[in-house]
Amino acid sequence: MAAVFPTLMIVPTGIGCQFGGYAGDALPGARLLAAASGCLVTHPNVMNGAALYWSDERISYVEGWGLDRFAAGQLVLRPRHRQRVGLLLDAAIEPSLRDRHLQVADACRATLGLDIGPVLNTDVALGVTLCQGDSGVSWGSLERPDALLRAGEKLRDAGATAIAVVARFPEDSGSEALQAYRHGSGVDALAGAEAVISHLLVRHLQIPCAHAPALSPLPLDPQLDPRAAGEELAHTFLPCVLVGLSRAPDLIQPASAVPGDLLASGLGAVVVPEGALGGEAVLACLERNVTVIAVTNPSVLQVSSHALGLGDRVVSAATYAEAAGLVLAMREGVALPSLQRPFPGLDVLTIARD
Amino acid sequence: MKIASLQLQLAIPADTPACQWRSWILNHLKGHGEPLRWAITSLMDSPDAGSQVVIEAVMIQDEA
Repeated sequence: MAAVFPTLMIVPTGIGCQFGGYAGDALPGARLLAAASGCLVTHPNVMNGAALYWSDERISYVEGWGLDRFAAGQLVLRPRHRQRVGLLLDAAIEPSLRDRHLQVADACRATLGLDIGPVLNTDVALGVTLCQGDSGVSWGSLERPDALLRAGEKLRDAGATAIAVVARFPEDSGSEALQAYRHGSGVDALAGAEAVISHLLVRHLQIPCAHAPALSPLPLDPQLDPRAAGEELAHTFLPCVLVGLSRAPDLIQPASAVPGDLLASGLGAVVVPEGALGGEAVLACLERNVTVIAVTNPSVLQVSSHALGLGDRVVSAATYAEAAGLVLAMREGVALPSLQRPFPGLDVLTIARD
Repeated sequence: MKIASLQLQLAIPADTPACQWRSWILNHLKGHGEPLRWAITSLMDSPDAGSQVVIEAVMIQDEA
């Protein structure tokens, strides 16, 4: 097998992707791309299945803000075989639900051998709010970002090398939006606020962080979509975050890079939904001439290769299975035009006579 | 520090290819604070052959 072919996989959170817009339902695609590439860099929305998770040494779990910086060449990824994961809990979480989260942490320590601790409550409630953009994309905010960062600093100073944060989210158990999500349509309304929380922490602390929302359990729904089912198996969304962070790569300044670190200049391809090409990481990859593989994966966005005027700069794939085949071809040094029909002609240049 | 949502419509000149859009957009966002998370959420052709893009963003701003 050829040397690894570092590949970036992005499924933006909060845009209602058919693959990846639910409870880690892009994970099968990530597993396949990891096998094809030998080295996959992706973000929590792809890997987080709440109570469900998959650990693969070929997959680097990198939070979205860190992933954008990595793609732009502003951060480098250093493999780490074990992180000490601090647990940051929103003061707004009620005592019984807090206990559930502590039990998850203990279960991951006892059963999975993860290194978790310390645990810290924020000094005030974080005040999570949800909103939606005109496009239908999920966004959100925090009333007390200072409390989040203060708690994060304390955990880092106490020895945590990564942080799992759990914020209390507003309940909307009767909403049409939640009903639609549970039945396999619509946008995850929590996603935007979740991204803001983890982005703030990673930006401030420059260590791996990821978020799990704290919510009351929902009543049984016999019509629950399989893609959403992972979030309704247990009392928390925390296990996948702890597992993901347990081996997340360190975020390193480029000037401190050493052999073995992964740089953006080493990326071979980025795999992204066809209508979601307007995110910062994808635009950064376009700057670097990284091959963009756009997969048919409908969402609320229509920022396509055609709309961006990218034409044949973007390789299309109908499925994640096809995308994995393309990545494997590139890893093996097979020119992609040779796999196309009709077979493209030679690119013939001429020299203009003066 | 405060967190603010922002929606901007920008006209990207025709001579700016998509591979230069990231830095072009960041230059326009920085007048509103520090972008924490942003994306182009829609775009259409502009009458002058450029592109009209809508950016949705979450910005970090200093408390007033």
